[in-house]
Amino acid sequence: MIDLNEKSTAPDVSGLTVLSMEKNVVQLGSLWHERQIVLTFLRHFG
Amino acid sequence: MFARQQAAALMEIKDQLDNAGVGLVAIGSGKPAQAKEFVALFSFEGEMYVDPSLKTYKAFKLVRGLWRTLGPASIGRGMTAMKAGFRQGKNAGDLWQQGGMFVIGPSDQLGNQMLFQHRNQAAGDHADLNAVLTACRAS
Repeated sequence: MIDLNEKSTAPDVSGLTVLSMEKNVVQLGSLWHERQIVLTFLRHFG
Repeated sequence: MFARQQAAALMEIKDQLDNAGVGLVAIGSGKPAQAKEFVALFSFEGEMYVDPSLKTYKAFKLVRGLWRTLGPASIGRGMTAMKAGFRQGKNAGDLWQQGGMFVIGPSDQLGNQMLFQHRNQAAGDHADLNAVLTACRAS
């Protein structure tokens, strides 16, 4: 896919969670609520 | 192998992200223990989370499929990655799920604005990190 630098809106992530390495449940949206992040989704860890 | 390659590339720009005050967050499709092992083995210094349900991958419209992983484009990229020294490890997550990269936030100031988006169309189809850095600086 062509990289898009045009500003666009993130999907609705309300209710979506991820797990920390310590198995804590974290609200996905909280990860960028107060800061800017580079968010990378990885393929499998192998 | 491609996750290792992506993590290594991100470590090369980590200082620049730190200097710009931009966080680095990775999400994997494996289990927490597998993420912990990955972080330790490959010295990934960003924040690491997992989503074995793949719901967050789906929310960001990331592609998934057998031929996304095993198609000719992926095989070619795999050869390139192997020449660069990366090796395939055991399966630790969803084999067919592809990744992606986004620059996003802060939502309390910009709403849920994304300044950069790249959805890998096949295994090894990684984002241009110069474009990622440009998006971070432009915000």
